[in-house]
Amino acid sequence: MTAQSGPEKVFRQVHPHHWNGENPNSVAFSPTPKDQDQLSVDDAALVSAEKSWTHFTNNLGFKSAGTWAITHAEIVDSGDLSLRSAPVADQADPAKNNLAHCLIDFSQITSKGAKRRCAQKLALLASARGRQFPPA
Amino acid sequence: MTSEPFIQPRFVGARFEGHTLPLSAAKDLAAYEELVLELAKHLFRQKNQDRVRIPKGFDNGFSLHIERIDDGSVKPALVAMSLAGQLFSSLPVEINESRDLINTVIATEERESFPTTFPKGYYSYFNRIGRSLEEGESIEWLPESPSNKTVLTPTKRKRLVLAHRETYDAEVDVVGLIEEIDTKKKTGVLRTLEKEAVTFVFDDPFFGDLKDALGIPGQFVRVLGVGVFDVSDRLGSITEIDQLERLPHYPLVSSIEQFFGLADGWLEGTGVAPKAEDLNWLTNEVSQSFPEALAYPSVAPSEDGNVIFEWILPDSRIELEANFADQKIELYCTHIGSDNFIEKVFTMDQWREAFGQVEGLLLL
Repeated sequence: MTAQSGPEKVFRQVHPHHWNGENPNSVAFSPTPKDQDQLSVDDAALVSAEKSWTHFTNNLGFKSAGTWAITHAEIVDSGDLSLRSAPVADQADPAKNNLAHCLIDFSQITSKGAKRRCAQKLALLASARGRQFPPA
Repeated sequence: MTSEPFIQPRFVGARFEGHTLPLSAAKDLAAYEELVLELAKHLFRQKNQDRVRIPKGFDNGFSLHIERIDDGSVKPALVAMSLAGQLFSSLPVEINESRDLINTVIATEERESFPTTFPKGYYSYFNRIGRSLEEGESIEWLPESPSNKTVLTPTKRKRLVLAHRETYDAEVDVVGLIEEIDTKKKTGVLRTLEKEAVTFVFDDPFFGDLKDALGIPGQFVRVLGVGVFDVSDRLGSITEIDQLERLPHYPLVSSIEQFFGLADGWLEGTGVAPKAEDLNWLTNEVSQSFPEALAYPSVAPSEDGNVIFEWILPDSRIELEANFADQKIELYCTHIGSDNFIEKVFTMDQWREAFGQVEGLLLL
């Protein structure tokens, strides 16, 4: 599947405070209002789990306990969510460029409870697949 | 009493930069005094093997006193005191020989041989000499020496004790659950967070707290005292309890307490740090309200400064969010197989009810 019709599988980076040493917390899959209800992920067709982690930690300077994966079908089945490609091209700082960048759109969900339901589902599905990088 | 200068060690480390000597370090010096005297007696016996016993008044009332404490970092000046007008006119030469031999032992570096004149059994004195030292601290027994300051560090102390035995004593700070108490023998068993069983002995003042914590899940205790460790630094027993502190639901409370270290911007440059007063309030609440039979959840901070408890199961997620801004507890539960979702709100004083709801959901 091409980026135009949507990635098949995407990677999500999880902050070290948002996992229990084995599985990610649900809050790691929940966007906040400051994200404008958009959850950042990377297209697995364009970047490996390791490269996604390396870009996030080395190029962007953020903390991550690892890379977890969810599929397009799982995202769509989790509720009123959609997935779209959102490549980053930062001319001022090319190191931040990320052609694999995508967004899971939570904006169609209005209540906090419904958003948490979607986040819990995504966390359950990502946990079942296991950490993609570093290997468990 | 008469006095003469004996030795002026230097205590090095952050704790000593205020030029004061902690009382725990004074214990080290008391043990050093014992070793000096006992080793002096041993040296006398070695020289006088025809004598059955040490002559009366041999030590001439020997004792070490701290005459003053000089700066840099802390340099207690030890003087050897002796009784005036006794059988012997001054301290026996073996006292100074003992001091010098102890210095030689301490100065022995790894891969060097220990002096053969130092009796094997006396290495156990280093279970107490230097036991108060923390990592990064040391005692220079000859600080003015240009060639060898005769430095005792925690690592060297351990090596000296283990030179002729398989265990060593050290300060212990351990948290666990009380599994057994023998009130007649005043002994017990503590199960550490690493699931190791550690035996201990206790004195009467600690009996009440130990009894109250005995066999109760969640009633953790912190023990400060002296422990016996093996060569792999594994704690085998606690031989002395100096302090005992009750820490209800310690694993959960300590998970919350780690968020005191968060600063605003902790999450990808944004992320509000939970307020200290909220965290203090929450640790107090869970200490009192968390059910004994409920498994401890994963604990996570939210981006807006709340704290979320989450029970992570293969097919379901249960979250309790302490929403400090709105003063409510929010419950969210998803079961992936049935696609069931439960959402519930409690007031901030309903932790028992909220935890009770989680217990019920975990039984489904």
